[in-house]
Amino acid sequence: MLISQFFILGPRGDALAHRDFRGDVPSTSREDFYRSTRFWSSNERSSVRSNRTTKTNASPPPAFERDGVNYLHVKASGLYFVATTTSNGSPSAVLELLGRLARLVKDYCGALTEDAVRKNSTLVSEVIDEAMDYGYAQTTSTEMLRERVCSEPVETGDDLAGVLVSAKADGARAVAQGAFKAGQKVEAVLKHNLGVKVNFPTKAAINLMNAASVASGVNRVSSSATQKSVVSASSATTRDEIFVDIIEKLNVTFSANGDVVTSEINGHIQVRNFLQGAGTKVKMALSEDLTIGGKGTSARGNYAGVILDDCNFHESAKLEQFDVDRTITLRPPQGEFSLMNYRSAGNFKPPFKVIAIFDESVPYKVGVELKLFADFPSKHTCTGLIVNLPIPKGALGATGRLPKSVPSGSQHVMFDAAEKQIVWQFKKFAGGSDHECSVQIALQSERIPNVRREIGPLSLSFQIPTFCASALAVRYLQVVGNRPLDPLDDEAPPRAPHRWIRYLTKSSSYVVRV
Amino acid sequence: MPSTAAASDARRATQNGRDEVTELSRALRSLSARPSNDSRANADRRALFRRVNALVTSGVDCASLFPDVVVNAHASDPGCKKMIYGFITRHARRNGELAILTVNALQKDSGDRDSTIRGLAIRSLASLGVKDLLEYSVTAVERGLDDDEAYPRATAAMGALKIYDVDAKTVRESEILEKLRKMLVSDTEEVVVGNCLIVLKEIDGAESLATKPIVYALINRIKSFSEWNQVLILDLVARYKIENADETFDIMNALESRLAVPNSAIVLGTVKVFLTATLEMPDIHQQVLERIKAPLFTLANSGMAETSYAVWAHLRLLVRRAPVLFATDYKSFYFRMSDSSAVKNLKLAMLVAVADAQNTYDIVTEITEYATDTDECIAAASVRAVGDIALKAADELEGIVDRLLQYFDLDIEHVTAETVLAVADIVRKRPAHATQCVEAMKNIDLYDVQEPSARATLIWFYGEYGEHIPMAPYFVEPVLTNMVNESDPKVRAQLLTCAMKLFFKRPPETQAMLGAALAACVRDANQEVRDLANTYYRLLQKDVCAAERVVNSRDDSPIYTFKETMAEDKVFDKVFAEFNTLSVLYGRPAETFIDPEAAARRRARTIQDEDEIDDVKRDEEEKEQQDMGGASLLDHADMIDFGDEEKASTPTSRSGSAADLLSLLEIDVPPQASTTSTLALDPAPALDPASFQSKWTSASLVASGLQATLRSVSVSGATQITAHLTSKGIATMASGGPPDAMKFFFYAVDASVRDIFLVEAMVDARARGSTFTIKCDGRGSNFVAFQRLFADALASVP
Repeated sequence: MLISQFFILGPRGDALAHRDFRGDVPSTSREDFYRSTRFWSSNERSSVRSNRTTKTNASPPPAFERDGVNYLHVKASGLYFVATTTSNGSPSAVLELLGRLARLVKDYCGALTEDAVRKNSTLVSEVIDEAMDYGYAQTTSTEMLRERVCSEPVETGDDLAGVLVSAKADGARAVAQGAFKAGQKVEAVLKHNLGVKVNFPTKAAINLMNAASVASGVNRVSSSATQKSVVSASSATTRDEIFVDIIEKLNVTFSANGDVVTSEINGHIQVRNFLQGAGTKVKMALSEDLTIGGKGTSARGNYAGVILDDCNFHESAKLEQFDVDRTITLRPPQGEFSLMNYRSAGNFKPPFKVIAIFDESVPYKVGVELKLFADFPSKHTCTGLIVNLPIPKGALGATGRLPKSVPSGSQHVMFDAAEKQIVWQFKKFAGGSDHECSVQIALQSERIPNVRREIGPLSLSFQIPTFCASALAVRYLQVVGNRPLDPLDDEAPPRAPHRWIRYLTKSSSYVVRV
Repeated sequence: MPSTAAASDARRATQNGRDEVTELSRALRSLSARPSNDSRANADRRALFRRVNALVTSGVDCASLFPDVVVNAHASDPGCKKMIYGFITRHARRNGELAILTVNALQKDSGDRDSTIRGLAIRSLASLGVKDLLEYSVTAVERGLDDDEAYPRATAAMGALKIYDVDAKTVRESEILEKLRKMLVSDTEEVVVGNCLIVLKEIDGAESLATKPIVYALINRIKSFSEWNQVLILDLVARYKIENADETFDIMNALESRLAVPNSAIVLGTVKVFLTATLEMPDIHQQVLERIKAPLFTLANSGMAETSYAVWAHLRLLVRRAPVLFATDYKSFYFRMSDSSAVKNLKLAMLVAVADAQNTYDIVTEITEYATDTDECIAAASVRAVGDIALKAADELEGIVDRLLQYFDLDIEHVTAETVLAVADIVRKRPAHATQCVEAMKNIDLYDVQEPSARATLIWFYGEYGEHIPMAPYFVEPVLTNMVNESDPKVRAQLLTCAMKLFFKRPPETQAMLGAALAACVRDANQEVRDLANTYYRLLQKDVCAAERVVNSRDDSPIYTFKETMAEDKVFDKVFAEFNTLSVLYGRPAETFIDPEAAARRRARTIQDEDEIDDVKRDEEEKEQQDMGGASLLDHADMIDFGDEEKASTPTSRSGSAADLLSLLEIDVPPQASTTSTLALDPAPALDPASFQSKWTSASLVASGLQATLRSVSVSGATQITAHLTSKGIATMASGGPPDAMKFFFYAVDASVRDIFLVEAMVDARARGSTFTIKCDGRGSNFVAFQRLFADALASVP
């Protein structure tokens, strides 16, 4: 896994950072990579019958070879993190490393955008220099790097979290120098920014208000609260807090007769740690009825609690007690990491069911009645549900109609002519409720023989906050251990870390064949 | 892609960049006199360096700032230091004399109280890469290896490798390597051990490190290492020759926990250890495969799309190795909406591999759903997968073939095309199904299919089964009369063969068609098509019955394995031996994409850092040496003649026999087009050195080791030769050297087709000998002619 060059490219192919470790790859590699990526076509793949001229939306695989140079890349937030190599090492190692570098850049800059990386080029290049030496990975843990990295994050114009970060950094310096009172400084900076950005759209203003409330210690969590640089986390003005998100992605496929073909949950426990002090330990207890490695329901009877097929844990997790009482102790690294990844197949009730009834009795038309039922407890509400129904390529068009009783603004159905599909959108979809929609497809000819094969499959995308499909739960989250004394931090507040535990179930691949 | 607007933007940016470099240079110089601990000056420096950094990143060459940066090297602020040292190490190679000015500051810092500064200084000193300054680098590294703190020690270890790459001898003669070997097993800090491992692996080679004491020492504390070092250790363990079964189990027990981590590189590394350790124990090997399934599936479905792709690629390899073990997991290979095309392709391959008597029905049902995928390549691949399953299934074949033939009903062009290809394979392998397949295909018209290979296959069907497809001649005829519109020679050749076959099967309907086909094909632009047409002519002329036997011979003995599959099996074994490397992702062994010598050569080039044209020369010298080594037994001058002769003489003899036959068929004989059109060179070709260099490396047509003897005895210098060649339309890119070893780079442009010819020639005027390599960038229709022209031109130098 020797890396010859590393570079970060923006969405338009501009280099945002660049390192040449070995000098054994031509310096044109950046352009070569970008060109290959933009104009990737599958006829360049080396399979037997690949000289096809057909249309493809294929993007290049994460690793490919051009003129003796191997390019490996990871795409994160529209940026390409690319490594070139002329040796045949472990591709996974390089890809994992690139992913880690992306996260480091995000941890340090507070956000992963072209602008943030550009403005923080010094910080980013410092991070790269410490994380990699002569083509090999060195230290990639956020807190160990913090001892070595001395640049500070720079605000990014369009990212208000960045403003906050710099305000905090300024505040931190103020405390260190003992010249100002941190709070005043922060307030002053924010006031200044508010003054400047008075004409911004409302959304930005709201973000700014959130940012301000976080800074001034108002107990409220905003969407941008986790978008902060870990560098600022060391300062006295940052809140001592930890976010634990149990995120489950659902992969469900229904056959045309309503049977479940495949269903699997891919879950992970994501931690964003801004707890202060290297000695901090966290103890997390998961559901007691959790079984791992069971071979599915058939072997275990009707109810066996939460069943996971397999899981893995972050390096920092200590699992001595896990088999006894399902508790994990860990000394969490700073920043964002995935504490546990797990997989569970077939042990859950798919949250949505769809029924489609076809009507082919009228010539030149196909009618489809869609019924959608939310099969999850009514205390949860799904947000942003979108149902896509592709219609035959040869069809003239389609219209969707909602029942009259639907209050305006709560759902919307439209025909997307470019993609040839019906799009049915919901603002909110309460658990236990059901909705319907009737679709009329106009055909060019009287009938198309296999019309049903060309309609669908339906796909659903959604998010259900507070809901956890596998029923895995965090029973409690304890922060133990003392915060070590910081010589500059005489007025350290008593330890009362904020612990946020959030659940989210979302669709990854939710397909209903019709 | 680069439009003119973008180009002018780029020019403007470069101009702005240059202005800024000048400005920065002035600003940096003005700060140089400020004391090292002046905090305001340091803040200014930081700000300036931020700008330098931005410029470098945007591609502006800032090398000219080097002297201005060096005079600021005394700054005490750590942030400043990092930026200054970083800049210096990146540009030191080109500014060796100036770099010495920074050595003092660096040496001082390598004794700093702060370990970060010490590490930084050691790293920078070791990275200078200037031969004259190596003694300072060596001292710094030697001292750094004895440091009390881990960070400088680790940096120093890595520094040893950097020095080694500049001057291996110095490092070998010092005690550094011995020390590193000791530290590898004894150092208390994992970061240091990790770097020792990296360095020794590169210098000594991994095999020599895979000894019992080292492997055991590393395995025992593997959990304390960083993830990246764990990957390196696992790689080392996989190379270790395990002595007995007990040892195998010990190692596997010690590493078992590495299967439950989220880092796919560690898991795959562990899997490789497990698999290689149990190769001799089939039972345990199977158990290992069972054991690693769950963690691999978890990884394949979590984390980043990129890493999970790599895991899928490895799963594909394992599925291929032990399909039976994965037969019950077939549902894991069903598509998900979120899958990339690359993953979908892998999944299809795995579904084909695991299909057995129990699950085939489910699998084929599922794959059939993919035919409407929006990515046409995936849709086509799914059709191919059904075909492959049909080919490999032993019984219940009809069911699958029926499903395959149903694809024709979908009436989607790319699906139909792929189905034609798949059906052809089935008919070839299992002639028993021909009737059923031909029945389903008899209404497929050539208008339904555009993809060339599918068209060719469909035409093959019309010819091969012409007696069962009533419409066959009428499908072919309109296409045949417009053969010029058919861009792919394969299709044209197939049309001709089809006309031949049909002629014997249904002569009254097709006689005129065959005449037209032959007439068109002897005039064809493609050599193979012409050859084929001429062969058929001669056959028909000689003995019509024999022609029928040749053209319409059908061998109904079944094919057991396609040649492609056998080749794949060989590749597969090699790829398996390279588990957890890029080979698995590419599906081909390392030898096809890794060139160890090229890497070493390029590295050597960068260190010496010469200008561009020199690089080309040297690369070529090396290449030439290789070429010469491989081909020295052949007389290249003869080869040119042979090529000429073949091209010039065969067509005439051919056209003679063809003409006779054509008259038999009452068709006008086209005048035989000359295959070697006359070559005319552009009298004033233009090419800049950069494109020369890039074309030289990219040109696909190469003739090397060619020779010519100078007729004149009075050649005394390069200008004499270049002047003569210029008059012939061959321009000079570079020339030089003493009369007995002159070296030239020439180029010329074909006036009609605009092919560019590139020449590298060595001329010994005293021995009157010359050796040259010619490359051609373009279609190369006049490549041979140019070789002759050049040889003549060189020989005729006055």
